[in-house]
Amino acid sequence: MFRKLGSSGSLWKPKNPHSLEYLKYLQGVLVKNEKVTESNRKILVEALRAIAEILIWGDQNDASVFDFFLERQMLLHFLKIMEQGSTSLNVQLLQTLNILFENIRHETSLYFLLSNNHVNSIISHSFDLSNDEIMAYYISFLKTLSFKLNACTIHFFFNETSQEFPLLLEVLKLYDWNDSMVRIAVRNIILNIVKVQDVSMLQFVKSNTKQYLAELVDCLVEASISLDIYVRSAQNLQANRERLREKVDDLIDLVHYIGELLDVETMADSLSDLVTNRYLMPLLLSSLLPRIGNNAVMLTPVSAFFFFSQFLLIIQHHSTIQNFLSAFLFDDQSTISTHWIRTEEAFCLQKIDQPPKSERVFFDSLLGAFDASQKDDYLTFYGLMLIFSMFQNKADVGELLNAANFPVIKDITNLKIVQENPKRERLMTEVGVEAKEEEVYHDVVERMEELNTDDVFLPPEEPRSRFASAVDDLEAPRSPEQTPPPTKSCDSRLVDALCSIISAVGKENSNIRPLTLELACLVIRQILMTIDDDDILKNLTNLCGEVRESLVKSLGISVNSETLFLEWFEDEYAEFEVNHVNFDIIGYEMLLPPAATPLSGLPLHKRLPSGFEERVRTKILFYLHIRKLERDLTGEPDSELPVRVSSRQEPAAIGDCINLYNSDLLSCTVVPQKPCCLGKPGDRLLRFLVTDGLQLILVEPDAKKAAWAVVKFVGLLQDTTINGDSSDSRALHVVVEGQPSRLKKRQAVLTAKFIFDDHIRCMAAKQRLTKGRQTARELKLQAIRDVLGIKKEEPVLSNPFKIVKGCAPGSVRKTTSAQSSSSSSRPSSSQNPNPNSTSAIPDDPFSPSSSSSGKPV
Amino acid sequence: MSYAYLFKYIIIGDTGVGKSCLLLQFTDKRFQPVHDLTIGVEFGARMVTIDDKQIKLQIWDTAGQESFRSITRSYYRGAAGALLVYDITRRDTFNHLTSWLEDARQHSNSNMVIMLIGNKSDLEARREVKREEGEAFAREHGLVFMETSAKTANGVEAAFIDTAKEIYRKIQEGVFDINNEANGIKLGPQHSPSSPNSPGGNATGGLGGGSGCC
Repeated sequence: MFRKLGSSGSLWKPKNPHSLEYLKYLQGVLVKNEKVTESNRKILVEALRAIAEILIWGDQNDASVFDFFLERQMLLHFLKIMEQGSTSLNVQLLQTLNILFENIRHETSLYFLLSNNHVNSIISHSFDLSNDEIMAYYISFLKTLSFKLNACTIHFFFNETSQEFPLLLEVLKLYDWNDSMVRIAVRNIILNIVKVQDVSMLQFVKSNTKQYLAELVDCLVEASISLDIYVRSAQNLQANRERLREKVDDLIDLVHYIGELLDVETMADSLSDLVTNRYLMPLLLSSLLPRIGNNAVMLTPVSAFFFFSQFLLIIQHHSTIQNFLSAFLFDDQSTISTHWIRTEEAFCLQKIDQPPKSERVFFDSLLGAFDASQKDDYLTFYGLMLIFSMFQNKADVGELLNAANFPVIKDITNLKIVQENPKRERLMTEVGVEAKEEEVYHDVVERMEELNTDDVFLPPEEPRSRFASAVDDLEAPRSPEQTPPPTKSCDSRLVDALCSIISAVGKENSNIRPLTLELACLVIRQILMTIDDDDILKNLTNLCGEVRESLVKSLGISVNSETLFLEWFEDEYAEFEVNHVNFDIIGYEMLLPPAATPLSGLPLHKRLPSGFEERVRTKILFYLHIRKLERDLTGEPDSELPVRVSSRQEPAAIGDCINLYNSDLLSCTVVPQKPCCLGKPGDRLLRFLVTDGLQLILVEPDAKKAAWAVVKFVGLLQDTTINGDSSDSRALHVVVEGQPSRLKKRQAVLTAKFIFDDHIRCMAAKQRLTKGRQTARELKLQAIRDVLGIKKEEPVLSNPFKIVKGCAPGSVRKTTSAQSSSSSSRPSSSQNPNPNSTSAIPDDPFSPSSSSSGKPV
Repeated sequence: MSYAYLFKYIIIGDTGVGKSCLLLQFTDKRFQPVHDLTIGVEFGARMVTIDDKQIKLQIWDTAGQESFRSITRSYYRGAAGALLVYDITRRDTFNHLTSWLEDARQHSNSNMVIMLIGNKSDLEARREVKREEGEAFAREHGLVFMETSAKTANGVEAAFIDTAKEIYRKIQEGVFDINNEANGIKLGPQHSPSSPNSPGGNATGGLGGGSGCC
């Protein structure tokens, strides 16, 4: 297939390909093969490739190389080859150009390359862009060029006199190309262009991007409508949320891009106009009004609020936000002069004329979102998100919000008040707490990693920057001269609306999701930080007190009747400690209609509870949020939470050296069944088992001091499950779970077989651990009762026939074999350890500790 | 030049760790690494064969996009694979891995395959980051790890191909939605050559027949 062309049939390759001589030779090859044929194509490709290499070498080592390149107008050769349209050659040409512009270091070399208009001719050459490869190299070439743009180089690309700017015009043609990488590159190139400070160029950009900007905004309109349709039709399931996430991300990318263009002065006016008159007013705001006409495009209020708040979270352009917010807060129907209608093929804007009917109709629709009679809290959540986003917005519209009786703190002007009023200070620290927690969190992670090197865990999603940055805003007082007077009041309807969420939480069968309450508390805290109204404070405090009491009342029954209440409470406390208000995540997780079953794949705090246990857990979460809010309002620190059991001894920690004089030690061999801090499965470790009131401790005798030992493992007895081994009467299966925390869910930290010297010692250990577990649990539960203010109820003894009295120690009942086999499979799913699995020890009905657990065996 | 799949990769990591050189090394063997000449590119493509299937890899360097948030966010999502590169002779580039990874995980498709690459392994004398540290970081974050040298081309081939294999495995398992362009995977024009159907139509039968275990 390769016809011989005499001596030029293949390229001559010198020993050192990096020299002016070789470039001269290659130039000769280009001249000799002006016409591209089947036979010389390969040579030309290799020549073009080698040229790239020499030029870069020349840029770095030998200036004469570039002189030669320019003298011989080699770019012109490139163009001639390009025009003959061979795919392989054009790919090579574009690669060569990419390499050239990407790797050139000397500015003079760059100027030389750009100095005649050849690069512009290459840019506007009509390549076969339907070819993936050509397209990719072409767009990369344009992108590489765009990174070379600055006030000096711009004139090589933009010709003021002839009003030509091929780079911009070519790239605008590709904005909706069917490849995402190309679309992103187009945006990147445009942003690189408008970044350059050159008045006449920007003027050109302005007059030539009108169509583009309009289409961009229409893309946003279309994306919003299609997202809304999806939200209406999809069930809240994992797969649907994934798909939704992509749509939301695309939309948010677009909003970010529009925001970045709005930051460019030349683009801002026309773009702001388009965004306001094609998106914000006719789509978002008009969707909050009753429908006019069958063809009108209406978003659900949920979507409208969501887009609105995303817009506020991202866009900082002052006049856009100012106009939109002021229309939203104060205007009536007549402010909407157009709306979108659906025609057969597309959407189009239609003029409408509405008489003013009710003042502040849009604001009313926000308040309507908090109407307690709704069947769910779907809209409530997004109403809260919208208010939260208004506080977060960085477009400096505080005055406007204040005018609407919307207390906003952009600057903490109220430091004075804070000093006077400790309550308020408390509120401030509550809102500001996340930022500090971030540090604490890192410390904890580091420490935990030190402790548990084998135990790899990924920290949970942390609150992302949006929230954290708002907190920074709240925390950092700005310069005093630009501080407006502090707001004294808050729109009473807004306060009422927020109160209605709090009181709904106290009702049996409330339809509020814990995350909604969490967000509501956050919004309330922000509001109360700025206003100085004792009535509001007092009413809210009273309301919180009432709601808390009604929650305690309904929890009271479960505390005394549910064996697992301890775990539920501890788990939910850990959950409560996590800040879930992260709009990067919940923006799409909450956008589908509220889910009510675990099948939705959503964690409990993001959905409605299903079944008894989840209802109790939800109430615990409610209780914790309300309790915290109430304390914040009164300024009372909470010293009772997290729940602690007072103990005479300091708790032991791994690495401690403890005095075991007079302690009951049981020697045993620990065989880990799963990797843990002690060792890996199969290891056999000689340890001594000790217990104190609350802890299970494994020690190794200290070599230096008699009767002292080094702690190798500690776990809480309350979280320890013990099971016998049907095949080995000297062995116990022990699973210890770690306490849940905001970083880590409850999970087993030790799953091991303890082998004792003989059966008697094994039974002694079992009894001690079982007893210890029961006592520890009862102590902890009592502490929780104390926190909740619930009295202990002496339970009626359950069916006495089930209680087996006084079996001989060590007698193993039939049930144990089943239990031990279940225990070995348990640890993986050990979310809800069943204390009754310790039943191999017969219950003694007269022992106080066993009667408190009082369950049939 | 037809292919069964096209995978899009991005390369991320601090500036100066040799991303664009790595890219050129892999995509274009004709550029022999020479000691006094460093050449890089921002884009490259190459065909590889996995499981008897022609797979085209398109690799996009993301250099310079950092200044625009809208751009950073989108690049991640268009890719099926990412090479996260640090320089073994510069400790700081290793220290920044966590924040790169966080960014990538935050914005990318959850199935994106990420490979950790310690580049410049030829500069053993100036090494600041031990191989074991790279391995540990990769293990901790569930990444595939490899040390490479764009200079000597050592390990480069394997880095890209192993990533492709991992993506291919995920496709076989049905984890990736291959009809969704946003995943960074495209079906080739002749997706299933064995299929009697014309390549023009929706090549849906492609995955069913031949896909055994892997």
